[in-house]
Amino acid sequence: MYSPIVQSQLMAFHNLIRLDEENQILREKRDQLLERLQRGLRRDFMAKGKVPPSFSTLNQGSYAMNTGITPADGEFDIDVGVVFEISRRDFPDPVVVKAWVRDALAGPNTKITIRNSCVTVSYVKNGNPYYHVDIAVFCPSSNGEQMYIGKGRENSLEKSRNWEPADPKGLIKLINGHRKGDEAAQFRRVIRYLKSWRDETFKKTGNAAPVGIGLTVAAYHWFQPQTRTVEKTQQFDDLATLRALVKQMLDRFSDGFLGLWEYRLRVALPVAPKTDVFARMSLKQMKDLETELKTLLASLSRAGAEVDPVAACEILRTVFGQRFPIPKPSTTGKRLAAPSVMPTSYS
Amino acid sequence: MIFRQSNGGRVKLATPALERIQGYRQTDEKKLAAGGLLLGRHVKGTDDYVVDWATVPMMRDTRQRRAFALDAFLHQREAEKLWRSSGGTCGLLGDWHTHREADPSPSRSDLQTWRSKLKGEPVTSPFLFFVIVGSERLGLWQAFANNRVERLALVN
Repeated sequence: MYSPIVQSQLMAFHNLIRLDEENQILREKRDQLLERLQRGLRRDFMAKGKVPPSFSTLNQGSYAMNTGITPADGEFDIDVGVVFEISRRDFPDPVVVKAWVRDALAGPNTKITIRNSCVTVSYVKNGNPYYHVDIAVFCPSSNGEQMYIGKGRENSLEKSRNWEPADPKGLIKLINGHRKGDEAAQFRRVIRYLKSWRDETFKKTGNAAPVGIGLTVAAYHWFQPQTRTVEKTQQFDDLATLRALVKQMLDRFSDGFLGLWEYRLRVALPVAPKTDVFARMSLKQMKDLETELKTLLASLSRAGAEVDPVAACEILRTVFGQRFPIPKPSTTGKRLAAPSVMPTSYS
Repeated sequence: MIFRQSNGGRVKLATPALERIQGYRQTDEKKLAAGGLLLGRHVKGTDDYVVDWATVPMMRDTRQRRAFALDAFLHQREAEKLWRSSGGTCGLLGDWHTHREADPSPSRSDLQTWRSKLKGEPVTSPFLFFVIVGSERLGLWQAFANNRVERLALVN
């Protein structure tokens, strides 16, 4: 049942975790990194007597989609796309280009890994993870109409090192244009709730967490706003909306043929290359995801059935972590008359 | 335990209140009747009530096998203390008492007592909740100022 108090606690939580589009620190970190990349490329290429490749940048990920959350453990992540003005014909192996990025950025307190879809640069401060930047590497087609993302790791076989068609701008446009007004705002809140659940849950179990973009795209496909009319005004019911979305996700786990018969949740990217955003999850990770989603659904149902908003918020804290605010019981009750007890006898 | 009112609102007997009450079940011949107050919140923006706390028999009360008489003084003191410390949000919602039957129902005299409470001065609520604790089950009734008394259905 709809609880206006639980809804206001969810909204307060959302304000607490939302990562502002205009977050100054992240913006500075990103700009510093891109400058370092430019200097590093110049240094490395000039040393070999070559002309450094020029690149432009793309804002990527939750930062650009306005779906980011501040991390509970303090390790921020920044996504950025780098588009090299090169031809795929000249550089058929994207791992070569990704290695340029790695070498250009190498430095103290920095750990750089070439991953399948990006180059991850992790910074350490006082021995602790501080933040990391995922750099996706792109190149355009010769007519500039199509974009390709560099896939593959250093130890990947040749067939797994490819420039895959991608449409990073198209995805951002789709997510940013999804729904309007209050519904668009609820869409973003629900994505952020899912991400904070993901962070809280998979941190505890140590299992591989579903990628943020996967949760975002799942919400893009299956989000249905739920509202309640209270005293003739329409109110958004985030708890019911999140519950309905989680139910949809669970209902879509199915057997399907993908070289092998596999039981998985398939979430298709709505833009090129239209691949499954969870394709890289193993069957074991899929099973864990399903189990955790079931637990989440049960907790959301219990919170929704709670009469006492304090108890409902205590359940939600187990889902979303310590940052979820629990109201003082005295703020949840109407003011009542002073008690006046009469002598009473029962027989 | 959660019960449903006829207007759709719900009443929750929260664990601390429930545990205190359940401890007084008259499960054998030797156990004396007991009773006390139901104290709790009317949840803002809803028709829901939460019984957060129950007072239990105190030294001035009279406890017999088939009768219980509550002396107002000490119960009033505990109720006032809670009401004050909760900023006036944890108030008197009704009372409870025990029966020796397994599945309790109000006696004629219980109904008279309930009705008299809603007619007494000062009337602070259009209705009150009453729990009867049987030896096996527990029931919740809502009594209104217009003499209507309803047994509330258990939701879970």
